Amino acid sequence: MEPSSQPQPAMGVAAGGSQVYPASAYPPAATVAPPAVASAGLQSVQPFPANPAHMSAQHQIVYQQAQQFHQQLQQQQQQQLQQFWVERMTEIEATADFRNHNLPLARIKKIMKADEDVRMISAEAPVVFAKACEIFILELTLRSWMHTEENKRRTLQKNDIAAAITRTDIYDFLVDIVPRDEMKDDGIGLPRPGLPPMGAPADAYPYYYMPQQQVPGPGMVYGAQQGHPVTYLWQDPQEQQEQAPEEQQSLHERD
Amino acid sequence: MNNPQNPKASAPCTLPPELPKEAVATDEAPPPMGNNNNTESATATMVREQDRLMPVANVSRIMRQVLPPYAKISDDAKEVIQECVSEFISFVTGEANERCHTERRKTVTSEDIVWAMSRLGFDDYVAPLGAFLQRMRDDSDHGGEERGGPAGRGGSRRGSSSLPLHCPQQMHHLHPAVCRRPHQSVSPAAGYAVRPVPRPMPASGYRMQGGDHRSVGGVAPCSYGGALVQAGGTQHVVGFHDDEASSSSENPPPEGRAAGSN
Repeated sequence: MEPSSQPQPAMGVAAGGSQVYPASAYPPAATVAPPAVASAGLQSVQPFPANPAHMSAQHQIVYQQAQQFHQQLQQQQQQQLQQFWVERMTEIEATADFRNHNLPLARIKKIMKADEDVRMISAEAPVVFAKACEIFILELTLRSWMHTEENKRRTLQKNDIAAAITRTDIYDFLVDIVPRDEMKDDGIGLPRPGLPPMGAPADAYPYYYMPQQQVPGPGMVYGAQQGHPVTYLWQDPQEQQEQAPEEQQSLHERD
Repeated sequence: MNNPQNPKASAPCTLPPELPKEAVATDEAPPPMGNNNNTESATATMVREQDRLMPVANVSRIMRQVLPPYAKISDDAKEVIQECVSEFISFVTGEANERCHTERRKTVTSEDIVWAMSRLGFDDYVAPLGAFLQRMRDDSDHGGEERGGPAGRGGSRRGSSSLPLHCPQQMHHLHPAVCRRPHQSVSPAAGYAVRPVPRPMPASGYRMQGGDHRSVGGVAPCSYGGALVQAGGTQHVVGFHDDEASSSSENPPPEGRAAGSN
């Protein structure tokens, strides 16, 4: 570590720390997901002068642990979603009664007709919509429940739905449905569960970016309670930027 | 759970202002379910708000299907899902309607709906809905077998809870003529138009004779579906013009039954 620590200060001053730091700290991550690591490097420029070598070692360990945790979580949630779609097909293939719908067709048609451009609607359309809406409710509820579980709760809340909407691209059209303050409650910027495992490293970016932007001191404590050490690590340097001694003490405590 | 359902069940009686024609039709008819909840919802705006959302009881029931038994759902979460579903319908309908305009068609079909979902990123929905459509049409084609097989209804996920409601439907099926009379007699009482289909009734009757044992309200979808499948252009056009022009009591019965099953 000593040989690598020597060039780091100079590169850091030149704002090139993002290039050198990832390579020395975590080569595999740099290879797989340069953007995420680059972002992490940029964020670590500030605490660099304090204790480069120490920060590097600590960051490497915590980063690896966080990566493993998130990859496992993503895999679990991805499996849940795959199972969800398998069950949908199975349920449809087992359907024997097509005349009892879980949602009132009249209401669906009325909502469709609310668009003045819509002239005539085939009789089949509301029936298909009833099924589509059922699937939509189920999927959105499942994704929301994932957030509920991440927060160790058993009551599905509004902010869980807001989190699911934020994390899922196809739900972008729902962004206006949930007020922004509800989305802020999603303090833990976890990667999107819907994305494939290959995208996991790249998705790490939102994680490192959001906490520092949206999670103040209380959020840090909250994050710690949720067992997200990386959140704590990244909050610590930023909040105690001008207090190197306390920063070091905090890092030691984490050891 | 049934209590909150009542006011929302009454909501269909009122239409949003942007649909003046249907609104007038609705105002002319007394609500089919005149209850205190409807009266208490004195504000027209409130009623119309409820009218544009899916019933909370239906939404809650569907949500619970995918949640563990110990899970609880807050009221504000249910409300958000209700809003999201309506937004989903409007979002997909808008896209489907664009396609109709592009192809100079007037009727939004189920194919347009599925196509729109694919275009809007809901790719995972295409396969399940395609299978659903196929199964539904096969079911229509084999109505005879369906009639002869009560076990089929029993096998339905909702069959047990809605079995009592099937009895009157069965009677209607056995006596098509009788079915028409109650339908017509109810018309004066509840004339609001959500899915009027007076003229295609003979087609519906034919479908019923073919073995369709659903209620009047449920017959229409199958009838139209059959028409679409058979590519009956003339019948198709005529039927849907009636759909817009006139009013009937086609929908109130299924609405009531849906509420009952809830």
